[in-house]
Amino acid sequence: MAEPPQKVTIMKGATADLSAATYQIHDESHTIGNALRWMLMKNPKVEFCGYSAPHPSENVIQVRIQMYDNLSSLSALITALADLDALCATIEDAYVADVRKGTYERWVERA
Amino acid sequence: MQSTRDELEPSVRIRDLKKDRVNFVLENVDLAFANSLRRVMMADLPTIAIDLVEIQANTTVLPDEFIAHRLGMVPLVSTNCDEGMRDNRDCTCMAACQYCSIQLKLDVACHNNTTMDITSNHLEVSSYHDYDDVVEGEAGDEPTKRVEFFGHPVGKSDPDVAPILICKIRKGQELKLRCIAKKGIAKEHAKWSPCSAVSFEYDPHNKLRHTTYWFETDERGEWPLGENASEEEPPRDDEAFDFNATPGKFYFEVETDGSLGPQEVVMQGLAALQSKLATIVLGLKKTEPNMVPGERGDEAPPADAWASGAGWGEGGAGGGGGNASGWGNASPGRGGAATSAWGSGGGWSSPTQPAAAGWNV
Repeated sequence: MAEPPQKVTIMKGATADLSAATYQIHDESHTIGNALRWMLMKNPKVEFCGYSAPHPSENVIQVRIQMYDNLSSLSALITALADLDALCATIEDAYVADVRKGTYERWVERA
Repeated sequence: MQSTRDELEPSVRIRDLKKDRVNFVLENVDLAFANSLRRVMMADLPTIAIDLVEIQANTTVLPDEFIAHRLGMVPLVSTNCDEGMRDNRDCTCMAACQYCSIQLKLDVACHNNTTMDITSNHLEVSSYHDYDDVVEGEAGDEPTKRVEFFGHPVGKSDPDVAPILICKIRKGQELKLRCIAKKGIAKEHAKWSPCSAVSFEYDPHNKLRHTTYWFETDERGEWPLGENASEEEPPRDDEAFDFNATPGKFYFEVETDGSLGPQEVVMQGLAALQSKLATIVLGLKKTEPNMVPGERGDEAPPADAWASGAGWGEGGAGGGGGNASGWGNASPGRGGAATSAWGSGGGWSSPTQPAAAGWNV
């Protein structure tokens, strides 16, 4: 069987210190792409961030990150991923807390 | 203001929870994230659906492929199928076995003078024990993690739920077949979606002008407000358009087909998003093992700095009063304000400020 494709590759044209790089993420779509772009843009050390799904029949997205001050775009990417993860956890907690409160409308199913 | 909203904790308020649906309001997150949650609930949650049909006898009026397609759309009880079933493609068995599939059989013939309905209730889950030639995959504990009625058609055990009609037959006609149900996600085929509908709305008064309403003579008269409009302040007639405003309150209604409960869909949706993120982090470590110091970058601020939104305003970076808020405003889609300011090296600073003022991070 063929080797499974790498989840993330750094596309050619990246600077040596990775202050500007394009990451190709395999098997992801707008679901992750847009939220990740938003989280990266919240980081003021990011000069530019954009993503694209180059072709609908290719199962990849490409995320371009450019940093100020020659900072590493890789660490910005990892931070953004961790923060999205924390956001998911926060919302899950909020959801569970609200279910426990039980202040929603209840409904008894009848035949 | 965007900056104040960013500092607020995301919140969830459940408005209504029924057997097959949940209605909740998600606040203080960005449109991009809310949309990710919507997408993930619709297309990335695993359920079980009939994927292979072996027709042994079909003298009904419907052709084989027609019936096979109808069977595929029947929702099957899929609670905890993440653990209760392994992916058929990852299983080492020959074709399908008890660890990676559920077998269902249907054998109906009509002997009366009336029209007979073949419904989803005629589908019977049957074990693989009758076959001694099944080459099973590696033994696992999947079957022990299954709930009662796992893989059964939804509503079969409940007399109050009307069954799903598959075909109608008359006297002398029969249908006999064997189905293999497998685990899958809706990205591959919509039959694996646990949701029959996910409604998603924001900005019910269209203050942000993300849409334009077509109308004959009177826009407000011809477009009555929806239920969610009462949650938000209606715009005043003389209110100026705020081009800096961003959506922050999202109205969800997740309606399931019964294969998973609404609670499970939301919780698994969030978990699926997290596992997607974890896969990318793992992939990054493989790509650049030397450049990934740990869970997060060396120079990156800790996560709580993000939450408080104060991470970059510190150390008198802004110095000159008003420009400090530039950090808080760094949100996507508004690059004009935030990015160009930093690009020009303290463009917001007063002339007396050193040019590097804003960079002290």
